Amino acid sequence: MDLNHLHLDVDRTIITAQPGQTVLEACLSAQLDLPYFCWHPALGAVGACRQCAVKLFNGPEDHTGQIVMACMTPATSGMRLSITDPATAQFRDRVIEFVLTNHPHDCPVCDVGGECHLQDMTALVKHTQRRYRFTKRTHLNQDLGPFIRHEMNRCIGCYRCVRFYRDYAGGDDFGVFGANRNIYFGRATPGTLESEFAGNLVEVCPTGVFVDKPFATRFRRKWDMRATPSICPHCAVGCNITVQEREGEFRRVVNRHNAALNGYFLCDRGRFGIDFIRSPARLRRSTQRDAQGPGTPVAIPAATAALAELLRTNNVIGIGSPRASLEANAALRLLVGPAHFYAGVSDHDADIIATAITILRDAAVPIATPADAAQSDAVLILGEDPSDIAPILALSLRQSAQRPTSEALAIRQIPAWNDSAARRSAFGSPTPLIIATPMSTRLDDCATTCHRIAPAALLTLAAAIKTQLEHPSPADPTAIAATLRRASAPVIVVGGDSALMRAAANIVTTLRRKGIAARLSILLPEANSLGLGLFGAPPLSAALAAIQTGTAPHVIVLENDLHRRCETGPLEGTFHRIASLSVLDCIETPTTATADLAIAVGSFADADGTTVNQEGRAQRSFKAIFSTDDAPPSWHVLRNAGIAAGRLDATAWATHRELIDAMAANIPDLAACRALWPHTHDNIMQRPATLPHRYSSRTAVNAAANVREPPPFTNPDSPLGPTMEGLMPRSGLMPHVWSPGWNSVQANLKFPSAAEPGVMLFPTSACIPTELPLPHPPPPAPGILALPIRRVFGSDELSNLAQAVASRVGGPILRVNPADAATHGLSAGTRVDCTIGTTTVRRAIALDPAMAAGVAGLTIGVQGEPGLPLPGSLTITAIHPGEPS
Amino acid sequence: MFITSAIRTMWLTFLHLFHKTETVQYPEQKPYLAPRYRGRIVLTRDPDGEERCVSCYLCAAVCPCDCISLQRTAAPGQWTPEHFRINFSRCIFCGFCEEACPTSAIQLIPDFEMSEISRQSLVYEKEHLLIAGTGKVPDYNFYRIAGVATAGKPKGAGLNESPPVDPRGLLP
Repeated sequence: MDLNHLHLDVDRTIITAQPGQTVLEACLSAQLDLPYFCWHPALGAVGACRQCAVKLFNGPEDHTGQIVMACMTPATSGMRLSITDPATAQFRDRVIEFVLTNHPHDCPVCDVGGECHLQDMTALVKHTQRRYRFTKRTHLNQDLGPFIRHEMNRCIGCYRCVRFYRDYAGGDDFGVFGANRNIYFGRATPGTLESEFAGNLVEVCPTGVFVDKPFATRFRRKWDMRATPSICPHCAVGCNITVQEREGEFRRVVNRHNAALNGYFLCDRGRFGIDFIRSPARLRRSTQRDAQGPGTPVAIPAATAALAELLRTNNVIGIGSPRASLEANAALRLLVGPAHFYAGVSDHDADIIATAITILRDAAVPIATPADAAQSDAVLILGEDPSDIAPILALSLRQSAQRPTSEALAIRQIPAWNDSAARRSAFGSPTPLIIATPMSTRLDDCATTCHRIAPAALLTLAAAIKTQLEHPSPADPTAIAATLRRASAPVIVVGGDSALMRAAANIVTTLRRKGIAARLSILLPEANSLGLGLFGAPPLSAALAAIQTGTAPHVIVLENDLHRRCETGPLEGTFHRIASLSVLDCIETPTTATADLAIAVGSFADADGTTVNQEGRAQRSFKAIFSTDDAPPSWHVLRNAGIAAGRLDATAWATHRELIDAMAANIPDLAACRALWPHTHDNIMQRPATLPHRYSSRTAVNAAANVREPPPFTNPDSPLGPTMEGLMPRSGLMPHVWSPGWNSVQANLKFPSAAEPGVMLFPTSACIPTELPLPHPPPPAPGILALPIRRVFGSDELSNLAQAVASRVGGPILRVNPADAATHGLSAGTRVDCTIGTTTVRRAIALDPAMAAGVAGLTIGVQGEPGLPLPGSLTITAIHPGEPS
Repeated sequence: MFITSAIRTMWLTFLHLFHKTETVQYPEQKPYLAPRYRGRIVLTRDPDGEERCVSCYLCAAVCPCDCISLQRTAAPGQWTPEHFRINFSRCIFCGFCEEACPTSAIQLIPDFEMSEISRQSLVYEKEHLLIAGTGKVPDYNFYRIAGVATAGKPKGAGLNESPPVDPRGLLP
């Protein structure tokens, strides 16, 4: 008998539970059906809904027992419980009957019907007959913005939305009004929900009060959609998602639980940004510039042949991309040769990525996952605001700041699941969250200390913290070192500057030497930035220099818009020197518009791919969308062109597996990618089925075109089964989260260990990390120092193409200190022309009173703008006070 | 033995000349079909003349031969199907779709005369399925009972509904 587990007697059956679990968690993990509403694994228990009543007996002689709430009762060994006891069954039936007195007769026209927790729970307690004869309560709905639709009539008053939005995600523009029959969950006035985590209300709500608005424009029931495990392509956190598809059309994204990364939540950029797949700006057909003029459509085989023609010249350079998968980048690198392969990123990004690799691989600094960040007992944020760059990491940091540490709870004898008591106990003794950035962040509201300092002073501060840790002295003005030294598992979040990243890594190293289990989290710009960096290719500027010096080469650009990576001048000054420009991309960009050969390839959802997130975690996503006219994955096009040009054997990379092997042989750092689900079962019945078992309409869906049914799609690259037949795995790859009687997303509670963790390319070792040398600080630049502001909505290339996200993008701004603004005669809302390098862009002034002096923040990634050399010196060349902002 | 048997057979056959005939002169003479006979499937309209189908996908889900395909419109508000297709070459006329339909939109009617030369002609689209009347359920209008607001029915105006609550009110 395992002594680390608790043993509970539930209806004469012995179940095991982990210490610290509640009876409800123990019952659900043991696959027992116990209804509940207000409990949520991430939000804890408050015991409000009274639905999870069970009978607790005080020992073997007790035959009467007492009714207790399972979510508020800690599991203890030897406990005797009953779920099936008639008194508790009747209690639960009465509770649900009461909940349903006001629930409308809506299920057929409710988007959540068929995946509704309330439906599941009603069926579970077998409540069928309405006895309440009086009228139903109704509510007016609010317009909550482009992501969420409000249908307040369906509310059952469980308070999960408020507990998520306010208590967990720190939003303040949503709340609960009134009480009893006057209750209302919404905003004070109708308007867009401001939190970038508002989309999670769709999954948090046990019924259909908050529904996914973009999904409603192409609605399907959950049982009708193909579900495929995937990885979010919108930032370097690499949240796990499930992409749902029907009839070759993308439908929606739902969360896929991964305890180390995103847990139960996603940010709105991930949830709604992937709609770019349906954008009109998708590159739908390949075009070739020829005698008849630019943009003559060509079929994929002809485009591949044209690409092969270029490869035969042996004067080809390839430019990779941080938004393309490892496979696509590896294929291009293997095809053009390592000497001719360049990373299509700016010098600044390349510097950051190279430094991150040095810290992870060479210095072996332990990296914090978002889960580690949520559990940490002190956080130091240096340089950049994680809320915009890595929203899910910011959400985890907020948990660390808002909740007391497990040690603090243990002292007060409050169990971690007791949400309300745990939160109240945090008042007055907050977990330290220290923010040292040049401008204000969206975590400032839960920070204990905020320091607004310019980048050069940040480097000095980081060095001073390290010195203080090594040689503590009473004269420590910021007391950051003292705070970090008191912590047992501090997390340092850093981004934006390579010297600062090195300095932060050195702080972690120093703390580790002192026996403190410190961890570092590095903010990287794009989904596969680290993966691209591991190829060790020089940046885009090196490619442009090579074009300038050598004989005019043919350039192949992979899923990259070069105009976003550098200024227009150097790019166009170089491009007249090249023989031809070929671009493989899934979206229309200025680069595809100028290309001699633009090949329409599949997006991340049309191909199997691997990405490496900012922790060095390689994760695989799978082809999620199947239709007869699918765009091929980039690496298929490159392989076929390579074979046609004689650069590859005719059988090269016949499968995804062989390409990964070829990549691993060339790049030793990526060898671990081979461990990502290596086994693909030959027998389709042994593969995880991607279609749900009630996938309807199969004999009618194509009948309008041809009444004969086509064979099912196949995908030899994927270990997933393409049809309804197959396994439903209990762990690892689980396309559908479903358990008998549990049709809603809450079914994932039945599989607590179902996450696929991916493969860490640089596993944390027990040894002390190496200290890194710091570069000499650059001389201060004249004028205002402009720093990039990356925004959740608006700075990411792909998600900007999603209609709902595009409507959330604010105008481009220049954020300055009011004192600096007054010096230049600027006021809030004034439009100015700013020149950085050789590029002039227009921005509206936004005042940030906390901003460090002499520094300005400039929103980047604005659609149609070239890449700006940031951080850099900024001059204001013109002021347009009269124009409206 | 053989002769007696042959004569008996001929005699019995002769007697049939005087029995009541069972042959029906189909198609000139139509057989009686009960109103609940499960034949051709139609989509009906509500008493106000609007389409009853709210594209809830329950008929497609319950169909044992998966021969119903539909897609809800992109427009918000009242749900209607953008397309609604039944592949009658697969349909087994079990009537599960009619049972599952929460709005009485889909109904089976006493008509079985659907023979075609090619299977392709047995694929019926919405324009072939939608009829002008209410079918077997004359009075039912789902949206009068549902809690969602529709064009002519604001919140609180449905059957058994209180007026919308005022969260700013001070009354308990």
